[in-house]
Amino acid sequence: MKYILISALIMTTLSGCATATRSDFTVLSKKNVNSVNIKVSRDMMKGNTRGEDCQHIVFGIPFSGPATFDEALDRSLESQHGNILLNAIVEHSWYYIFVPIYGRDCWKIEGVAYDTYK
Amino acid sequence: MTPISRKTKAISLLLAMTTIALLIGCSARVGDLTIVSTRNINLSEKIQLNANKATRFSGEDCSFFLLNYYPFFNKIPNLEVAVERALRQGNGNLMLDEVTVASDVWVIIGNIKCIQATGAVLNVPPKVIP
Repeated sequence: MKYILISALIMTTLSGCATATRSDFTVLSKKNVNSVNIKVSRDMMKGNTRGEDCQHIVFGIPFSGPATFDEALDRSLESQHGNILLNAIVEHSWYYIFVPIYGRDCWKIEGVAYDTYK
Repeated sequence: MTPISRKTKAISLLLAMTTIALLIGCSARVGDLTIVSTRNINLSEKIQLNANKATRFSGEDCSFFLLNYYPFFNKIPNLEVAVERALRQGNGNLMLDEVTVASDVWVIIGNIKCIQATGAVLNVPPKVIP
């Protein structure tokens, strides 16, 4: 009985969970865009960009504020000084080792940055 | 007046705690987008977008998490699904001034996590792929 309990405890401690969800967007922005006359052309292109915001949880204690989609998008736009992302891929990944020795919650955004005010 | 038995008191306390546990939840604004779309739209031609003329619609995607950490059927709320549902509701292909809200409601053995997208839905010329 003792061994069963110990092995059950080990099994649950070693068990974990990882999952991810992917979203595809044709247009994505959180910055000001000229909505009166919006037009995107090739010369406005700033290049491929990537932004990430993660929260690490160790023994149930979060080591930063909650990871947000907003922050990841901001980082991806800021890195290329753009104001709009085209063909954006948003990935939300979730990973935990049993309740929760270690956990990670991440938002990642990739896309092509454009500056429509250029 | 008949005295209340210990058993009745315990059941009442348990019921009260269950009710409180079921009512606990929280929500947070996790994103504010100026423009968002999941559809092919033609941005190579100048288009005028007016959020004041558009009606606001909401879309939501939810998942159940066992013990807060384990998503049921390995599914976590998807923002694309929420945006797509709002676009379909508004019969449009572009959303302006979108607000993303993530919410969490406890249900004793786990919680229901949702992601909601609300914004002004517009219909702009779609991109024609030859």
